Amino acid sequence: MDFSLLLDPYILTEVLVQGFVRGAMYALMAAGLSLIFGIMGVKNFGHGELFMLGAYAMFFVTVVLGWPWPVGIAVAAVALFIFGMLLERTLIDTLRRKAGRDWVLDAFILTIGILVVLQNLALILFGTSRRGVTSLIDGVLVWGPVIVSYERLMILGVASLVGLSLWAFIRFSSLGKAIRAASQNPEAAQTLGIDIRLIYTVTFGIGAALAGLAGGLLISIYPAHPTVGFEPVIKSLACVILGGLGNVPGAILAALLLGVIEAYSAFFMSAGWQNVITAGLVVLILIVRPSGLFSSSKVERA
Amino acid sequence: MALLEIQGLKKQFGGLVVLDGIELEVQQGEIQGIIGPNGAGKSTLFNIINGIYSTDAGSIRFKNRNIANWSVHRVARFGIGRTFQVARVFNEMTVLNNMLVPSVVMTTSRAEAVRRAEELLELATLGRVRNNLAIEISGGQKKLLEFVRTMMTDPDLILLDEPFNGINPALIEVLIGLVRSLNQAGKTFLLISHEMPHVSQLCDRVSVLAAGTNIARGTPDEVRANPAVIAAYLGQ
Amino acid sequence: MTAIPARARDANPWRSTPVRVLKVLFLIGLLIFIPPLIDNPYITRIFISAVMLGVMAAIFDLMIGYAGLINFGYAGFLAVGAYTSALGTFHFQVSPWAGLLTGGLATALIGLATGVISLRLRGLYVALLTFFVGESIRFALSNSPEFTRGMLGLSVRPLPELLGFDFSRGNILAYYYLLLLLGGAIMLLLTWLVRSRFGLAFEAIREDQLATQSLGLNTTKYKLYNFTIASFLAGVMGAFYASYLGILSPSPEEFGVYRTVEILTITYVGGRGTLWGSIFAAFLLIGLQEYFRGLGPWRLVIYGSLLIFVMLFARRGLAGFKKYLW
Ligand SMILES: Nc1ncnc2c1ncn2[C@@H]1O[C@H](COP(=O)(O)OP(=O)(O)O)[C@@H](O)[C@H]1O
Ligand SMILES: [Mg+2]
Repeated sequence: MDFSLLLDPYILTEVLVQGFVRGAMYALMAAGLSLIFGIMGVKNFGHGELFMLGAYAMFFVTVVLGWPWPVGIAVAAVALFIFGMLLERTLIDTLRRKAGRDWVLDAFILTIGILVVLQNLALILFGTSRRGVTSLIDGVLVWGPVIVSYERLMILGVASLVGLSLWAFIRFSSLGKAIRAASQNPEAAQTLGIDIRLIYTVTFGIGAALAGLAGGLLISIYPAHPTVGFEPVIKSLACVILGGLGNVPGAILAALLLGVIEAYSAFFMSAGWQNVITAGLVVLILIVRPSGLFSSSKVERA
Repeated sequence: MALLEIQGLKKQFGGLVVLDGIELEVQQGEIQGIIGPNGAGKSTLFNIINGIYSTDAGSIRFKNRNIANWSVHRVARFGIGRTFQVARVFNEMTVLNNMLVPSVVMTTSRAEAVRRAEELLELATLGRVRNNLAIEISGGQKKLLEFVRTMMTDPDLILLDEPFNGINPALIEVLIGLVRSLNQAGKTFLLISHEMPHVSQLCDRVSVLAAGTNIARGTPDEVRANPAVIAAYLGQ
Repeated sequence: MTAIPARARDANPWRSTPVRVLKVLFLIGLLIFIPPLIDNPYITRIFISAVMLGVMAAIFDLMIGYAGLINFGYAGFLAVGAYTSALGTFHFQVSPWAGLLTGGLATALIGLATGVISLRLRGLYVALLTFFVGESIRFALSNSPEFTRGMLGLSVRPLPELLGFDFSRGNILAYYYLLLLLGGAIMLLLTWLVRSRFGLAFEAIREDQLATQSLGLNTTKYKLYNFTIASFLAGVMGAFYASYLGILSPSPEEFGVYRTVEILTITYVGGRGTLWGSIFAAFLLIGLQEYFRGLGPWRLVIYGSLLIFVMLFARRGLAGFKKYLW
């Protein structure tokens, strides 16, 4: 291994761009997971399957129908938004009313059931073959030592745009404010006339939309197949923990960091050992700093 | 020598000072009341004695040991039992099994523990529901269950946090009777309550907390006439 | 909510003690005699799968159903037992019989360590931590091919002859009876445990840790007992699994999240906090799976739907139907 290679500007930009693209995907996934966790307390283990559905939606729109890619991404996001709200209203909401006090752990188990069902339905409907596109946009940008494909720039651009819109939505819209109020103090929010059930449903829908969007956006890198959601969900779970559970900006930051670290470490080791390191890192963080890397507050402990 | 003696107890959460130099003294064999407006820090005081929260300053002497910052179970083993403002029963266990949990760490035989549990349940008028799950009994019954359950640890001092809240008059009578008879058998009580009539009925002395400080102490009649106490309650 | 006197529940003669004993004996009889009578290796293998997964699910139940501790890296723990035993034989010529013990001990150690680091966390945090511990184990196994042969698969020697019983792989009835003995012993141990003082402590912890501590119980200690005992037993089952299966690979289906989900589903379908419900659920689910084998992925859809159904509408699992069936 020649370490000086890493200082080579071509390789450096290549690694950084690759890291950011991965990071963008983790971030979109982790932002949704973290949002759902922060507001509902639910860990959605079926989040990867929402990613998968987004990828299939994208494939359907852009390849089967032959429509342009921005439509595909929009359809993936909107379809998953609706699907997410349906899931929440029919299953998770029902559970919340039945399970009472300890419902979040039960909700986690419920999302595992959802995962198994969705994954195998996809297998039945679409088979195991990978359905993707080689690229949504052709061409590369050459700028000094920097060589980046337009496709990757587009991914980074769309992801940043979505991230910013999400932030603006939570920050400035009245629904966003209600969501924040609900996450800080559900009872108080309820007495102020905020409809908690609606907030939960919309929150889950937004999380699902982000996952669907990620699935659509990355179709050229992660072609649609029934188990495509596995890696994204594991990695984004890791980011959510590293960033601090429920801390959306923390999760996004952790996602970018993890993406770049993975891209770098791909130079040194196999993907297998990368996974060990990621998992080990998460365990370490949960032990020494369960509130995440970037948080000053303490997590509820036993 | 007092059974429990608290000096200069301070506690803050983040920037919020909740207890600011509390002094308290409970004599062996008495029933002492703690009153004070909502948010005065009464429950927090119990949570600190009980070991749930650490102290920022001050000492808590119980049976001549400073128990400040001991772990919760150690405080319990050392002789302080408590109830919570919102009863914490083991919902998915039977009433009788709720009672038997303390026996896990006691040297009594199982038969002996069951006998004692049934005796206490009878006294608390819960004998009839002993095989029901705790989640099935009424809110007032849960409070009583929690109380007699803590008696299974055979504590010297029992902390009761708003025991009369949300329980019907008939059960209140049962509860008052129980406290009285246990007190006669040598148990010491410290109880938080807003219900002045019951406090007057039961307590020898009352301490008044407001905004994390002691503002008065004395017999129930004395504190009721105290202008500072009236002001604290009106100011609420 | 009127109180039902305890005796009234038992008035039904179908539930009197002698009849119960007969019912249990009958079921045990079925377990012992059906496989040799049918004498079809395919059926015997189904019985082995059901008993094995049922016992694994009952051990899982000791954690989740009694103490409220979720070990979402459970399959990784099974892997520790399986690999400790298999690698011991492979590299160090340890007898596979001793492997049942070393597998259990190694897993107990991992369980203890995981318990210690997850103690101060609860609920979902425990689930996340254990999940990543399990995945770390699996990744580490698959990334050390020079020692574990990784995804190439590690072949495991069959159990050597013992007391005149032949445990060559062709003789799966021998494995089945060994499993009945081992699983039966584990089930009895678990039953004794949850009925002892420990069981009370575990349940109290599941319901309310703070209240439990306030009654003088050191919850940390009991959680560690629970986790370590369950891990030991899981390791023993893992070691048995290794010998029975003959080849190990650290795939997600075998020792990853899919296996954990499979076992967890059995536990939940059987009914949390029932131990024996897991055994019935295992027969039900494995039976369904085999029956619907022709349906391919549909059987997993059924599996997942069943889990969702149980979470939403039959929260006590099969145990909720006990009064009609038992
Ligand atoms: N864990 C905590 N974190 C932050 N603030 C707390 C905590 N517990 C209590 N407080 C605050 O301490 C104050 C006193 O609460 P408490 O002791 O429950 O009052 P009381 O029982 O007298 O009504 C309140 O303002 C409450 O909000
Ligand atoms: Mg209070």
